[in-house]
Amino acid sequence: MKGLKIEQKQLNRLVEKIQKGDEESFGKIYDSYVDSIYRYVFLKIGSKEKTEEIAQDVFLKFWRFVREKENKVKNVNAFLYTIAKSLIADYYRAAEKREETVMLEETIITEADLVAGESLDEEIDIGLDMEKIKAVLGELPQIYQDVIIMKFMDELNNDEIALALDKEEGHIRVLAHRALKKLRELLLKKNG
Amino acid sequence: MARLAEQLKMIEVTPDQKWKNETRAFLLSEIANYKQKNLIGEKKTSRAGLFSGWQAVSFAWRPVGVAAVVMLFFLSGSGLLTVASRDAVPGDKLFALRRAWEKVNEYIVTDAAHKTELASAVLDNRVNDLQRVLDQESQLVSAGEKTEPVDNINIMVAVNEVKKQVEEVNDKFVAMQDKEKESGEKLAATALALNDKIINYKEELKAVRDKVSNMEADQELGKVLEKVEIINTEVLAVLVEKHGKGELPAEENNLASRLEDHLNEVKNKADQVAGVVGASEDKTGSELAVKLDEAKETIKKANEALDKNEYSLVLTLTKDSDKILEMIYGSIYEVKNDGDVKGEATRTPEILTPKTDNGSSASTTIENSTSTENSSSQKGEVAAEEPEIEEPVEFQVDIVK
Repeated sequence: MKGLKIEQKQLNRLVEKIQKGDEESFGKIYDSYVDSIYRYVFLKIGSKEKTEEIAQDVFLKFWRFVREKENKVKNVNAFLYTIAKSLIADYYRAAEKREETVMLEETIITEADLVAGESLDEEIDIGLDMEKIKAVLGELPQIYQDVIIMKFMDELNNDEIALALDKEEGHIRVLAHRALKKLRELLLKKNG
Repeated sequence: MARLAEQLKMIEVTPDQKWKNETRAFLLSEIANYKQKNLIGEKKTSRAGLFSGWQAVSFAWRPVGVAAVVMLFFLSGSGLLTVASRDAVPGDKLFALRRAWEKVNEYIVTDAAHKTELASAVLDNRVNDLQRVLDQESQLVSAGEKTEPVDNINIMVAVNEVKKQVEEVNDKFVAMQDKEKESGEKLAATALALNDKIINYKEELKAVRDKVSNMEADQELGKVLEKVEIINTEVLAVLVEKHGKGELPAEENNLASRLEDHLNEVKNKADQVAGVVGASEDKTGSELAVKLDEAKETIKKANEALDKNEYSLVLTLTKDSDKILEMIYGSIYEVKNDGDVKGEATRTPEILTPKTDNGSSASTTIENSTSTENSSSQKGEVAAEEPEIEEPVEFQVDIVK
């Protein structure tokens, strides 16, 4: 994860303190995660103004949940992304934008995928400028965007991504491979 | 050219620092507003809050509850009067009747754990009372019926009632420790519940202290908070011991969080001390700065011990660092030796008052706090001189083992 990393144990303590109403603990979590949540939302939405609104809501909802629910948040990082994902979905619904869905065949994991997933980084090794990557990212299906942003930009581990996206951990590796592959194809297409 | 995955890592999308700061401030203000509304909600339904306090009380005297109600009904001479007294706050005429009701319960309950629970439930009521008194005073000021509640007697009365009840909780918990030595689970459960309550008390009392403009009340609240932290230290010592024996039902992380809260109190104190020491530019100031560094180093070690789940060590190191901080205070200020101060180990500069005739100092007082045999029933006695600290010191004060 980019930015200041807080150990899980310490995070648990902070969450417990937030449950007791401690504002400072909430501030620490905000400071540690605001950049990555902002990045995730911005890359999915594209509008600075809307991103700021959603990112703010993410932390407000996080606080309310922690404060009002008895059960613990198992993984703060994954949970924040889950909230962000939900709010982004709300945004698209409100804007009557249909979320792109991954075709069924794309979600079926084959043995070849698993093998390919092992050498993901080796296989896709092409030179591209970053502006193009950013522009093309928006053309990917949502789930691919999620995986690319979380895994390659925010450097979440597969466990956290699986929790945030409500998927099996093994599936994430495959999705990451396919997402990168798709991104490469689109980038090459843009390059002509 | 870098690989695609590596290039993705390099994409920088960062929010404006201004937006980050503003959002942070906004979120914290939202939280504060929520807490405030919540507090107001509780106050609006103060009758309900009171009822929950009485519920807790009733739980404690359940074995003889019916008899108590009947007896009190006759003792008060009027059931209606008794009911009316439930809303009385310190300073009201009916408050004495309310206290009498509570006292009856205290006499009736025999079980040591229930006595502690009852004392804690009554403390809930006293803290609620204080908040209500403060609200009433503020409303009077808003309505123009009073100018400023600077010299308000009711606030002081309510603060003193809280203070007395804190002592009561301490006494009951200490007595329980003696009686329940054999009953590990019961003691552990009571200590856990008490620690939870203490965390709430501290939060509520700090919130009240922020609102109080009366200097004397502010100082007294400072003392109350110190006393609460002293009880907390004792409660935590029990929890750590029970944890070591595997008698603690709570999760490990939970105990770590409780200890961290306690450690943070000492850290805050170190910050306060740093402010005082920083202002002192003479030779004494530089010597104290060295001591302060020592305290900070001890706090750091306590933090490390906490990360390693060495709870007993955390408690010892926290006590040590607190003691060093107290010594620094003792060197800067002279404190009165009227018994109230005796043995209190988490003093803040605000409550320190000019040197008295007998010239006792904070450090002397603290050292005496290590003597548990002397500490409980000898208020007002002048404590003997003690040497410099070299070894971990018992932090327990006013507690008879």
